[in-house]
Amino acid sequence: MRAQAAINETEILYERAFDEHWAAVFKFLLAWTNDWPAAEDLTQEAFVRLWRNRGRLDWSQPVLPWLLVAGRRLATDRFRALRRRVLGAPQHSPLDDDLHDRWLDVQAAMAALSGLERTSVVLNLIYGSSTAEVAELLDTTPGAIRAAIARAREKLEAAR
Amino acid sequence: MNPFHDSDEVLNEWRDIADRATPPARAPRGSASGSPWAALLTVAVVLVLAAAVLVPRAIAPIGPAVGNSPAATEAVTASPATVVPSPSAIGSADSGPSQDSAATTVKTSGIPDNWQGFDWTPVADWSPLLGAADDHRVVSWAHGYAMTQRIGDTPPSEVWASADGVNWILGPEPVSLVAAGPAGLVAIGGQVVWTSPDGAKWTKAGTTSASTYITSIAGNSSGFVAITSDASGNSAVEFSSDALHWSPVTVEAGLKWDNTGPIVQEANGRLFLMGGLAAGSGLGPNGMVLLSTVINTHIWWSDDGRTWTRSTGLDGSYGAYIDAASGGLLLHTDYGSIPGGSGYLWSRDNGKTWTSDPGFGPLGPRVCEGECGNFPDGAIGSNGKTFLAVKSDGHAWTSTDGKTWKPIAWGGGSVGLNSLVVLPRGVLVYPASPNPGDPPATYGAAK
Repeated sequence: MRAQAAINETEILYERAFDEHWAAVFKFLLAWTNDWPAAEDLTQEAFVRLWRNRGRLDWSQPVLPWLLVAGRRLATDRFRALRRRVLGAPQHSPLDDDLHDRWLDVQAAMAALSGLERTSVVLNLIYGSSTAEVAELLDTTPGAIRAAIARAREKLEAAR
Repeated sequence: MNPFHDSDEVLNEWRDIADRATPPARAPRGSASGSPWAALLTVAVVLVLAAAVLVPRAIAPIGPAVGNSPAATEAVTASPATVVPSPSAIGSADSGPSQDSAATTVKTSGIPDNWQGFDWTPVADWSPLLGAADDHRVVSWAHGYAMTQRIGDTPPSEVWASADGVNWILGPEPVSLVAAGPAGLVAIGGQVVWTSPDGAKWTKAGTTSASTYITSIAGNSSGFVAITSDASGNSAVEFSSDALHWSPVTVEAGLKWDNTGPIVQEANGRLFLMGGLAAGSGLGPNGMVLLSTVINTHIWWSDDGRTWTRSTGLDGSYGAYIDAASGGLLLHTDYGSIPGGSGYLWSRDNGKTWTSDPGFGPLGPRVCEGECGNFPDGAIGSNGKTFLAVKSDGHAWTSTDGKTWKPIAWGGGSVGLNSLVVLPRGVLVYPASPNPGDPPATYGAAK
């Protein structure tokens, strides 16, 4: 009985995490990949991993960082990402035509940036995370994040 | 030309669009819940929760500090009190990849030479072997092997080293780069430099200059060469004998690297520098940003890390990485042009000259409809001694020089572009078209 209760509790916690964090995980992975369908797929994979690990997590701690690190590990295998692109990722467009066209413009502008640079500017400049927080998430240093943000700014200005 | 006036406008538009993303109607649930092992796993997990000690790790880009991390949960999975062996997760000690109770060692069995085929074992999705193989390339050195990622933009957090190609030992964390130099292995995490004479014992040797960070590093018996990037994003080539004290190297007078930044790599004892020059940057059709390297890419070689000679034969593609075998080198390249693709160039004089191979060795080009890029119909990898080529239809070959190919039994399933990691005694394969519930990789122990 106690075991069953614990199972149900983790399922509830998992559902709650999905509702609360899906958008943040998706945006993070969209920044990292610059690829809408890939970001959706990777977000899905990150939550599948959370589901598989739900019994091992300390749910008293925030779970979002776990999801972001898991997502980054999935996404940073750039060869797998490339394979996904080359060999047939789901090509559906979840956006309406107007939004899709706007996204293509943004995507093209952001394509000049590396994953590190995109994620750094999105987290730091759009969502206000500190360079130290971003650095910790991306396994690098605040200096590297500052450099990445400077490079990103330069590239975005140069591509006008 | 893109429609934005400045970088703020790009970012505001990014946020406006990203905020409209909607989640699926239902939270995904993994296939493990349907397996008979899942019930055992779940019950065991309840027991585990009472005893498990998750390693706190503060990662808080959007949320507050946290005690959960994938690494922590994976470690718990493999701890003595919590081992719940999924039948598809951990291979046998004799044939497949396995991990010990503390998840600080991994075994990849098999024979080192004269491969005739493979014994296959699924790899667990929490196996540290997966993270360590993100680079898809193994650093070979005098006293063994090391694995980690190649360039700094997408760093993993681990380095693994092995003396025999079978037993791999977890090194210091977090580490994103590893290279072998005169005194042993060097691993770099951020600006922290770790050294090891044997891949087993590591010492924190110090920090590199705080004004730059290293994005790529390679080493040989003469020392280390690295690509550094400053706060303005300018790349430079630097040399060091100890990976702590660096001095700039003039590759050629007046070189200015493009935004992609160059990379360095060691292959067969020689150092290589691959990069594009800034002169050719521009925009392509429909505002797509083209890599400047399309028309201005080069590769240089050096034996001492200080004097560099430009190689000949590069065909306008961007050097991505080199696979080495005892009788030749294979340069994998990327094309920035549309529709793009990848290329193979071979060298049999240890990198002084390169010859393009539009037939992709024994693989042939991948056939597809429309403009979908030029790619090999499969993948080629190497472990420093042997090339392994696997075509998408399941035919496979080995070669030591890239000219003479010997058929070999495969059985490892479908192989797509860059889905091989050739290890000293076997091969990791990432499925080309994974289905839900599939293992993220399989390991083939060479026999």
